[in-house]
Amino acid sequence: MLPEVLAVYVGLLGESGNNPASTHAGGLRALSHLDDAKRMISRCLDCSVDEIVFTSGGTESINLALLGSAAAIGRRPKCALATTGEHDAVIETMKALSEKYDFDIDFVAVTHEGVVDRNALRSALDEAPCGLASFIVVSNETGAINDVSTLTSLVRQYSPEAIIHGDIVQVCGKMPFSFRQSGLDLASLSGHKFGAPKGTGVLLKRKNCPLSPIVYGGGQQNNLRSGTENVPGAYALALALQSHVMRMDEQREHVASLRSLFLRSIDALRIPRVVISPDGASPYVLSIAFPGIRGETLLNALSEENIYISTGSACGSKRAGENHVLSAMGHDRETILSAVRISFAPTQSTDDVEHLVRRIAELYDRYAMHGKRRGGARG
Amino acid sequence: MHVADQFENVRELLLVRIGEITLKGLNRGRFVARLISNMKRRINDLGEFSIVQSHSRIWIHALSGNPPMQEVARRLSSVFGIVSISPAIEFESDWEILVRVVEEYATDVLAGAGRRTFKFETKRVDKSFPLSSYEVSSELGAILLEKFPEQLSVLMHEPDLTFHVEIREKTYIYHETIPGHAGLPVGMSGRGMLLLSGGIDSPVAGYMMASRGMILEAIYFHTFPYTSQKALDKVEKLARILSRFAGRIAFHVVDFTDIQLELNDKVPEDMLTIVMRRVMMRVAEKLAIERNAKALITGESLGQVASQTAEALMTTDIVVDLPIFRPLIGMDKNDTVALARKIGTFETSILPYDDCCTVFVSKHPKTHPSLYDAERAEARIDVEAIVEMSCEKISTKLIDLTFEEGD
Repeated sequence: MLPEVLAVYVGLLGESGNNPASTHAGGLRALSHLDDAKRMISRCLDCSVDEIVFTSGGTESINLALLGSAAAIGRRPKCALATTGEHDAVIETMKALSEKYDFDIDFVAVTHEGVVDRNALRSALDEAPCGLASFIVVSNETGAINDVSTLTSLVRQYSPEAIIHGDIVQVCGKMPFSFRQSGLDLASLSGHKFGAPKGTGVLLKRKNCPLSPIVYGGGQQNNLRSGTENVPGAYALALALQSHVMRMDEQREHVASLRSLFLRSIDALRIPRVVISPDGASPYVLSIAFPGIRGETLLNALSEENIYISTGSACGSKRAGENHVLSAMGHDRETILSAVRISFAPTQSTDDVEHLVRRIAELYDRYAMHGKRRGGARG
Repeated sequence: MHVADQFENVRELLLVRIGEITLKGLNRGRFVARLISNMKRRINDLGEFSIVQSHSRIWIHALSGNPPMQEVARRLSSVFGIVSISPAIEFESDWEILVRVVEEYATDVLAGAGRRTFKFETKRVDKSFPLSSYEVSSELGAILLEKFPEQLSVLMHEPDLTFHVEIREKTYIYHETIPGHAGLPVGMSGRGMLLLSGGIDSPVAGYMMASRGMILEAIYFHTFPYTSQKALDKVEKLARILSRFAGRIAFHVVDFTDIQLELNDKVPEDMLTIVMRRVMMRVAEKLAIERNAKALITGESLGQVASQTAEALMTTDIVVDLPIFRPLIGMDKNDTVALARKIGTFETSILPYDDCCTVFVSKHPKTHPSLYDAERAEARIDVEAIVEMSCEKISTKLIDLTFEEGD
């Protein structure tokens, strides 16, 4: 969590009576914090304040978006489109739509670069108009960036009435985003991805987009998400987002330089590698395979030194060698087994990156099976 | 049971049936003594008990306090040697008392239950009792029918409830029979060294040998960072689950990484699995002999994977002198899975953390290696030194009986 956000968050947690539905002074103060949070978010994401629904995180936002749209689908076709590059939260919710609400689901292929294959999308739309579509804007696995306004206008060409949802979890605070111009009806984001507390999230919902609640109760948040609002969480989310957006260009440049330093250093030390992330991907995440050493082996060894990287998606507890996004991009099991995901952050320094590369080189020499670095140069 | 609180001189007890042990001839006393001692270890934190063998059964009374007899029964049901357990109540052999106790007992049993069919089964050992077994059953049946006309009806063949009445020096009533895991008391068949991995098979193999009376020790080859801390935790958890049946287990962890690195380096890829297993067998045997174990135990099943073909088993078997017990050798995988579910190891075994057997699988392992292949592959390493080095890298932890985790 960002330190300045943590301080404000903890302060708010200590405030008594912070239920924005109460009419006493504490309640009014809470309401005004919630309004402030919405104003900050609306400025950061170019949306209106009444398009913001606070949730418990990305997964809940996605569930509300997809399940809530399905329940309000009306006369639109009961056919939903997503891509093979989606996060599990979308894939599993889509499966639920098929099992529980009798939707036809089509997962459109991604290219080897990890972005939506537009020809495949066109032919899917041509085959059957869809009532609901969902796209990941920036891949959590590879950082591959989908051009969201192109995709939304493509969908509307064939299915003008379709409800379109975007997974913008990896976008917020990391690259410019305008909800107004995106063409999306719904967009999901998660607070802890940009330094807000875990358990905070937002669903953006265009005013005229039909949506049914999936949680019932006191009718809070325009009856879209009942339950007392998490005011400290919402405020911390807004503050964290604002803090990143204000420094976005500078941070992005720094992170991009770390990422290219990393790749340059890996190559300088002749560590065999396959860069899975495509050119032009978000610099914040790098998917890379080191053939000869399993991703999990590297993860285990680095974690002993308090360096945390990932394999697959950190959410799941999957078997080694299973990663639906990398498979969809056409990578074989061997590459997937040796793939890791490295996150670059504005708080890291060039020293951190150089240290990481040295560690990877040494661990590669020690643990790679049936092969050493070409030339075997010590880092 | 509330009944025991309602009357003076009415006590709760457990009737334990011991099956196979009763067939033992002159050794029977030793088997029973061992079983009773295993039972005591399992329940001694719950209270003080008298545990006595008589009439082919074991009779357990609480000596002091008010221990939860259902919990005592649940724990004992996983002690090998026990066929089944019935929680019962005991009182003076007297018809008047019997009638009153039966009425109370049935009230307890039927509380909150819907309609039930029932019957009585009476065994009269004390022939001085004034009524015959048949008379006792029919009289008591009639009394309950009159007391619970809405809830009870008689059914002779497979009723919902069978009330058993046994008239001996004292009289006993019970209606519930909790199945045990049968087998022989742990400690009657020596000590076995189980090669425990994180998979489905090896815990089942351990369970099976412990059910034949073996004391278990387990050995696990840890290859961090190829395998994670989570994989080690998982294996320890499996040992913990096994300890519910097998009692205390000495759990040995070999830090195998350096040896694995040497093998990776020097052994041809298609022979890596076989050589690795041959080294593991030797290390397990060396430890087994040190620990006074009489056999190695593995979860191997013929033909299941490349390293479990007859040829592959032969090449690993031949490097050790101790017998290798492979209780799953002829079992179908489905039956092994069913047993894993029954003993509660399955859910842990399928957690997705790789063990060395899955990490170091060559892409195309030799399925039918010859002894010559194996020996030639080993010619490039100093086997004796490697085994010696492995044995120096063993840490041991005692895994004791635990009951805090649910079944």
